[in-house]
Amino acid sequence: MSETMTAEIADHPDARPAANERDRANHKASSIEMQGLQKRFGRDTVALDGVDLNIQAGEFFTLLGPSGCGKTTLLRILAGLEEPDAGSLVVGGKDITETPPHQRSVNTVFQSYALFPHLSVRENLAFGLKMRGMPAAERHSKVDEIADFIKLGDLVDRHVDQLSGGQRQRIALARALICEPDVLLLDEPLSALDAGLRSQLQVELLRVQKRLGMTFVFVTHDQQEAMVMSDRIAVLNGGTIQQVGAPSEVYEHPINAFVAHFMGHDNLFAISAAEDDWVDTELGRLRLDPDEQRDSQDGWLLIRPETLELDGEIPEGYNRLEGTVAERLYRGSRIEYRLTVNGRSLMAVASNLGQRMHNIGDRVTISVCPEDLVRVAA
Amino acid sequence: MVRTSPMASRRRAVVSETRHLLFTVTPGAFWIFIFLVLPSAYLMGVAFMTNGPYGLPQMPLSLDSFERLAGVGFLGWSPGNLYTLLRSLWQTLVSTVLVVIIAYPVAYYITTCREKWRPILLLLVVVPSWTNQVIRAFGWMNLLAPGTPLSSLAESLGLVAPNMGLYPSNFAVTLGLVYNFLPFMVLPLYAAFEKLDTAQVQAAQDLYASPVRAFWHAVFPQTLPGLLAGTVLVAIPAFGMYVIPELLGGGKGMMLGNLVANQFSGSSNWPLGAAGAILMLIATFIGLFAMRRIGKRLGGGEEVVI
Repeated sequence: MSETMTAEIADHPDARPAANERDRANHKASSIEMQGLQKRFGRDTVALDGVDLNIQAGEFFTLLGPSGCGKTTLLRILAGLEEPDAGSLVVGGKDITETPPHQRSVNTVFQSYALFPHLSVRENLAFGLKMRGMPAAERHSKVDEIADFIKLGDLVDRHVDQLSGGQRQRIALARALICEPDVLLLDEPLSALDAGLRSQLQVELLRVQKRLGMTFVFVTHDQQEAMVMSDRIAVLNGGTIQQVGAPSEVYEHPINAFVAHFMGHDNLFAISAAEDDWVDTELGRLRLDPDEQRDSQDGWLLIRPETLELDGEIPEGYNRLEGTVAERLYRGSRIEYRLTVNGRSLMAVASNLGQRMHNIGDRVTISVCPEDLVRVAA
Repeated sequence: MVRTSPMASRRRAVVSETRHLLFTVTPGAFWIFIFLVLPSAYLMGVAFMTNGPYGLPQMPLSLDSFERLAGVGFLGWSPGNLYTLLRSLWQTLVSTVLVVIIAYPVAYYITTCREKWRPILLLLVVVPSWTNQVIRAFGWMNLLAPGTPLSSLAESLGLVAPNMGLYPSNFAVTLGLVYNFLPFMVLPLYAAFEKLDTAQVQAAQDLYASPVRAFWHAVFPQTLPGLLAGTVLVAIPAFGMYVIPELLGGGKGMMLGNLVANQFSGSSNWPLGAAGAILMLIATFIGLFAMRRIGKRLGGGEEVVI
């Protein structure tokens, strides 16, 4: 860890730049393979209903879903704090389904941080090393290094209850990182922080992960956070995985209505009839890319608000709709319009490039490229 | 509009605060003065007086009673009182440790039960203490006296001499103390277990602590305040216990409480009794101080209120 930490410090202008490349390769990251994981609580509650998932070594992987979707249960199974009813778990090529938590090279950053309040920051940080039997002197220097690494070097001799929320969060992260686990699990670690601190720590966390090249499994219910941080996202609902993919894939091509809603899409319209290159919706008949096909006739049409153009030049082959502006939300960098088309509400977003704003009640012509329309399964 | 100077308003605030303090503190202070400070001062005074003809204190002031307490009598030094002190300390220690050993798993077990059962189980723990101590001590007498099944069993196993029975004995006193004080340990421990932060336990396991070490590093520190509170509630009254050694100990089981009580009744030596009471007070304070230190060390320097 000492050397990988130097790598992070090298990010700052005053630090030694040398150790960087040599050490990034030093850490062995582990892949994770889950197969048929099932978990029930009591008789009726199905937390996981057969989860198959592969996470690559060194990946920042996010489990995304609403509360009760099974994402935390999955994380706890990875940590060994919960035992699956069925299925297998392989980390770094080793089957650890039956391994108790204290024998897994997996560490967790808990949502509540779960720092030990009766211990000092230093003792908290050293806990994992101590349990592994590392001598005191070595522990001491490791703690000093990691405390510098997370820029809390002057806090190590304080007590946990003297720290702010953001500081606790960092200590919880450092307490897990110091053990150099094969996999780091993060259970909504930023959810208790205010927005500013949160986005700051998102960036820091991402940077740490890239520097260390460690496999991170991150749990959140915040799709923005998931998109910002992840290499890949798995969207869960009702104990099953709905979709796995890169953030752009999951956002732009959600596989079903649940994923689309959860990724924050509002513009979903029921398809009443479909042919090769068009669909009938409540908005009217819209042309779309013939490649954009689904087997079933029904389902939903997704229109991303940022793909709509208002009162612009309409190129050949584009879809054209007429509507009125019902609401305007000025957000600075962009302007959101709620339009009414055929009595249905349609959201549109325009980047604020200084163009004339549309007023409420204005009639507008809406155009959208057929390739931007996405068919979504029910 | 009249502007009040900041000085005047501050003065007014101070006056109102003083008045507020006076109102709230006076009754309590009065109570403590009448029922704690005065009797303690009286006791202190009596301890330094001389024993009179009927055991009542009289002038002049002397250290006679402390000498007697230390075992110095007409026939030279005798270890009787020292033994009583040591026996009191030993009984307190043994019974407190036993109470902890029994109460810890009981309290934990109750927190693992279903929520609707917990009050009932706690009630079952507490119910015996609703009966008078004396009656319960008599109950134990009947259970432990020579010829009872328990005594016969102990005799046949060779644990006690034939026909001696389990009562009266030091063992009976220990048993009586454990039985008597168990609820006072279970309740604070239950409170501690109930608000146990399981995330800490999981964090310990996650950080390579085996189940035993996870208990020691993540469960035990969280229950420490309850454990110390329970220890205070058990050890202090046990140390000064009068009824149980009197009834279950026979002549061999006397504790400090009995020594003191005797000086105010049977053998009648008020100054000696007062000196004994002061000794108990000092021993209690030393014990409390030691517990605070232990609590601070185990609690990582955190203040454990006891």
